[in-house]
Amino acid sequence: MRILLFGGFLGSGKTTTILQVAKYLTTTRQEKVVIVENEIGAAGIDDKLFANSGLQVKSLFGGCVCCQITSELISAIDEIHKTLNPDWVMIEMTGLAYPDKTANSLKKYSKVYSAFKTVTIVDRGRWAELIATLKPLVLGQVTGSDLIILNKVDLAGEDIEKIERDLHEVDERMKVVITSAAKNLSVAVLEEVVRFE
Amino acid sequence: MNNEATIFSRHYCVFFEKSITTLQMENLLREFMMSIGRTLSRYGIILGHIKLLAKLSELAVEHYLFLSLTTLDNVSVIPSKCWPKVSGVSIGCIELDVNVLVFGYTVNEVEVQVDGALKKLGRGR
Repeated sequence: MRILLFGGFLGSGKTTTILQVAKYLTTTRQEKVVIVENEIGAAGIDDKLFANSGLQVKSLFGGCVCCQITSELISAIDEIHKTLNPDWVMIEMTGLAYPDKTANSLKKYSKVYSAFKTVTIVDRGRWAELIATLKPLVLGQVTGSDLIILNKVDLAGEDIEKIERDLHEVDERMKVVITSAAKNLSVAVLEEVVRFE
Repeated sequence: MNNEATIFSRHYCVFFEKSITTLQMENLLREFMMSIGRTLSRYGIILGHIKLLAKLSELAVEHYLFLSLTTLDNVSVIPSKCWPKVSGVSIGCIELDVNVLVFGYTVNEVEVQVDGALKKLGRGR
């Protein structure tokens, strides 16, 4: 069971990306996928999008898995492994979470996965404004990522090379792919997401 | 800027004076999102997101539209699988789940904007 942990700021395109990666795995590779959805708010919205696509979804409400309900996430992963034993678990973090913190907790306390990867989605259209106002959060979210998807490049926004420089200031080895999930991810990008070294 | 995001999450039922079509409803909901977003944005950017799930409460199964807004004038709309089948249905009321997560505004400020947008949309409760 491989785990893909998806992070990124609110509205960066996590759900849209996960839906496409999950569809690719279930249809092209015929592999079994379970989504773990962590959402803030009284009413779940994103989980209905996943369920509408025929995907199995485990919803975690009541707080953020990186800082408030980490143990619930670890229990949920163990339970999914025991009862469903999928090929893949994709975790969608809230847009306020620090993926690195959750990744560290899962790596430390969960023993049921064979491979783990953190993918963070970055929104090109809002990058400059977010860096100007919420820099610690936005750069904290990309820290420790195995792959960055620089999304919404079809929209106006910060110069792409400038964003890449900002990202590489966090980690010069950070791998970045550039795309627009709203216009369907290419097979090359999908393969990059599901590839393990 | 305050590092705490404001989380606003509410459920509403909205009644229309006259029944509307699904296309009219989609256009109204786009404007609903924009109406909230215009006030909560900075230079056209939402420092967070505005999400909306609109369900046709007159139907038993889940017929819904999902709308999201992060950048002004760019409302994303995703219909559920069943949505096209009910394109001819007249709608008298809808259920809305509104989630606003945003930096820089209080819950009261968000609520005022959502209430104002609801009044333009129909009779909410």
